[in-house]
Amino acid sequence: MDEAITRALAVAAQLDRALADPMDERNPASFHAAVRADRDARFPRHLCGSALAWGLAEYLIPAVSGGRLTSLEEAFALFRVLARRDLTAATTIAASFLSALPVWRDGSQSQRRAVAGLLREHELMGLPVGEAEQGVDILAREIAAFGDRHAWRLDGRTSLIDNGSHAAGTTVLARTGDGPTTFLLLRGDGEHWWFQPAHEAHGLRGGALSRLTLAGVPAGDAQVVGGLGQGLATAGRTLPVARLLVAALALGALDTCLRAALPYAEGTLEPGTSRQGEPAVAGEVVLGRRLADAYADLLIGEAVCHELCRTAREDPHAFAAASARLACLAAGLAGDAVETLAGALGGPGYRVGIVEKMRRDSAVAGALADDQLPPAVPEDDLPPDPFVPVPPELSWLGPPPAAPPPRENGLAAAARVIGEDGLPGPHAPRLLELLGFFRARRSGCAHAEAAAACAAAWMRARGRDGYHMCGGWLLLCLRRLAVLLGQEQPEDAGVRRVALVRLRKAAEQRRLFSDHDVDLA
Amino acid sequence: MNTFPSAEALEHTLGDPHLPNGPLTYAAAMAGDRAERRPHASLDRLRGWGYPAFLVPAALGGRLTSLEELLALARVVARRDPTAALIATSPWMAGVPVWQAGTPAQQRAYADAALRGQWSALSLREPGSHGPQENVADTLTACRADGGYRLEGTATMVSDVRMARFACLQAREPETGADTMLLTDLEQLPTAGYELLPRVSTHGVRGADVAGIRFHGAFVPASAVLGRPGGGADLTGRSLATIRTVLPAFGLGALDTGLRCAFDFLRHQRVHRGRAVDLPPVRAELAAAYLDLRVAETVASTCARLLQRLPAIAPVSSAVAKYLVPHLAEQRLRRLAGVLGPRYLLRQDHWSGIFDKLLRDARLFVLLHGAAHDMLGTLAAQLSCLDGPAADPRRADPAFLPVCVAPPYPSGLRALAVASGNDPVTAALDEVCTALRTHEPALAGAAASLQAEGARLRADAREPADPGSERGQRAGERYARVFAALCLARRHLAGERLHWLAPALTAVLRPGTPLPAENVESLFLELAMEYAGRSALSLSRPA
Repeated sequence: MDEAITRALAVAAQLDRALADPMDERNPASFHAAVRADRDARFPRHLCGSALAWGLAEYLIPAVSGGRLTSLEEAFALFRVLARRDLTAATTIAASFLSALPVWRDGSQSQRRAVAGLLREHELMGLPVGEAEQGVDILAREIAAFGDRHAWRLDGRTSLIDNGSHAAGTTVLARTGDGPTTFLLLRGDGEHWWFQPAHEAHGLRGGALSRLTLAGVPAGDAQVVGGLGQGLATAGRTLPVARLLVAALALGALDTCLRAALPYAEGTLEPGTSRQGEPAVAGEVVLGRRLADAYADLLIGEAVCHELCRTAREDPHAFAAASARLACLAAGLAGDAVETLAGALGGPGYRVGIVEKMRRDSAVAGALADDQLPPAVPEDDLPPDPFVPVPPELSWLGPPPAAPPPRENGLAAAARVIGEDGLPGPHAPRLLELLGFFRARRSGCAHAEAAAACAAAWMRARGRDGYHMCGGWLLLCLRRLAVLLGQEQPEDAGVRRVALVRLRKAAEQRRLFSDHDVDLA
Repeated sequence: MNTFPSAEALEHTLGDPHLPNGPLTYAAAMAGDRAERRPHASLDRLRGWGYPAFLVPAALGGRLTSLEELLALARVVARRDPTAALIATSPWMAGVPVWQAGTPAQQRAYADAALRGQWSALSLREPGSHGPQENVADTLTACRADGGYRLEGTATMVSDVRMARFACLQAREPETGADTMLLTDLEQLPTAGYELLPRVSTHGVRGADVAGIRFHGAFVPASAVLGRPGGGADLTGRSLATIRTVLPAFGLGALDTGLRCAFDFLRHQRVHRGRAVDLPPVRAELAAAYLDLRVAETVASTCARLLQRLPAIAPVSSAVAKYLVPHLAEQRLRRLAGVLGPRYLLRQDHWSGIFDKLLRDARLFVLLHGAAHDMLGTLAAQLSCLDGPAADPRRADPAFLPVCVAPPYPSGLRALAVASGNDPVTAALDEVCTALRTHEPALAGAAASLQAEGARLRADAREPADPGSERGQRAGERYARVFAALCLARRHLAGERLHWLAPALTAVLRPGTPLPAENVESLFLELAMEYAGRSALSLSRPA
């Protein structure tokens, strides 16, 4: 068991319980309220306010800067849990967190104090995501800083993810004679910057996106974050975290969609228990299969993201590249699962409601980490990567270990344990076959890396309960990844059935859909 | 390929969809979508042009003789606004049971109303389809009363119940447990006998008025029965075969414009090294989308021809069209959305933001009148028709000719069955593969793939599986893909010369297989040229 993950999930559970039951329509932090705000294109101020008042504001500030955030796992878990209720709120606060990251890493003491003060007053920072043609503007083509080294004027236009044109500040990347440089802008400079009406969007309709115009905004050394010309590196350190948080948001959305879809597949859990008191019918059977697959997607995404957090902590050199490969895979799996569930639900998924909102929002939330490159672009075709090599001082919020501890590949470790010790139950031969299948994949295969992350997670949890001991959990995940790589879906309904039973049990006990026990409101 | 002057004339009349306002422009479609408003102006424009006449059979005073023509017309409208297309075509859809089983008086009354531009609503309980996506709230019953029926309970309409003159309702008779189809004239019904339920807001097609109707003992005369009492399920099955054959028009229209929109966006989008459209993976995606569009339109038009030429195969061909075409359109739009990145969803100034709406609307057409798993189950259940004595493949030949002439709609459709006894399209498998191998060496590889998939399909037919099971669904999908591949190959061999046949067969039989580089370039160039050109009713139509 990884203590950082356990601690983080415990904190996230506290937040969820503080926000109370999302199914209660009288609760301002309910799904009902989220859908209503979305319909009215209103920013969910109440939910954001409640979350920040609970103490989320302190978790946006690293402990070394006086806040309470001690690990990337905490940020991941908090945004995941918040996203379960409303992606608009979660995305906006995540944007604020990401916008402040350069300040915590490279900013001066006074900059850190200023941003911390702002967050403690429950103000939010906006995150520039670039104009449509640009994507996240890592090359600083949108904003230019004119003037000499100590007195610049910033001009340009960009798009911000914020709380509907009311961002109290932002960090922008601007072109200077020394190269792209990060500037911290706070609202005090307001007469020189203004917002245009928010974009209309497919999702996040609560005004989470606006256009910011800078017209001669004065900036001096006090506004520069890090060194002159260091902006590209600064942005490069933020993007891997952004990718991880996009995955957190997608996993949160998937949790809610699973919970919403589960009642429609009741007949597949116990014959004769469907809503009409009849045996499971074709639609329910198909939905049951989709649910089990989506649950597997969620577990895979969770294992992958937790492994990424561990990588950020223990081997920061590898974090940026791993995040580009694996966080995108996790977010993609969860996003696809949301789509599939919404489709399999049919009418209930197509009508306006929380599933429909999650479906739209999760498609847009990826803008947080949109590097403008089409996802189909293979790695060989990527432009010169500004994110590697990552200097060692970029370890997540703390000094990196002198030398990363050697880490045995999860696939090899799992195969060794199963081969030597065996497993109770019938799964060992199939598991060994699947482990071999993934070990034989070429290096750099994201699905094989995800399988390794699942195997590593299983190694840590295998003594937890019977489901892990017999390898059922690992089989569900590996089988799903193998199908995604083109293997034919096997018939064994037992694996899916057990997954559905666990899913229902977690829903009944109001626990997060997770490989960890997390009690929700 | 058949061409339809009516569709060209409609396209010409509707003009430039990029205009800042006016009926059937992208801007108007988006404004209506935003406000969840019925597209009145667009519907008026279509009525002014004479669209309602194409929804009524020629024998009843309309101009409808060919479902392939209706498919083309509906696609023309759907390219501009799928919502308007769906609403505008709904009087035909609601009228299908009437054309199929109505008495002359019922047909006359319905046809007159449709020709006058009056609306109708349809509520079907789809046979064999169960699950959350169906109208689980439908509780409509028809109790026999003196000289007619008393209606109780709720029916969920797809659209238009608030505007409808007629409602075509499937109601259960509690005494017998059988369903009866009723053509209810709402103008004749006392308003105390029913209430209209609140409108349901939806993910897409937001301008359509989706709502239900609840009856409180309303009396409808026995003359309202369509077909025979208790024959509602059978009539529904036969009606759905027809409706499912034309529904692909809406997905086709959405994909058509979505592809153009994405192409235009990507050719202007600057990425780090230049234009996005110059990145090989982006070109490959666009080329694959173009190929899918070509495949989808050929399969859709072939299935429409088959329905009229060979109604006995319609239970299979309609399920193939309904499963494959909307599914292909929605999946392809999603992939294009992925290429555009999340920010395609943030743009409101590129083509008025129509891509977002097309994607949302297209998702409805996957669900409407038969979700994917229902269609696959339907196909799996009919696999036995491949295991009996071989059908004569030549019976299907006329449907594949470059110019296909069919008996005028709806004559012959009373012979529509709810399941096919044999399949003259798939019966030609060996013959088609041999012809491809013998006459066109370049197609030998594709022919081998087709032969291999066909062999697996026959094995599936010999060992039938539960249609809802994993294996049953897989067999259903294989049937759909082999059937579609044979439609393409037979159109080619009958003289249409589909130069993209080889990659198309691979794309249909092995979805997800990357296009070979040489096909990417040729298809991409064709897309680019058609985008720039102005040939009628192809992708290159001004849009």
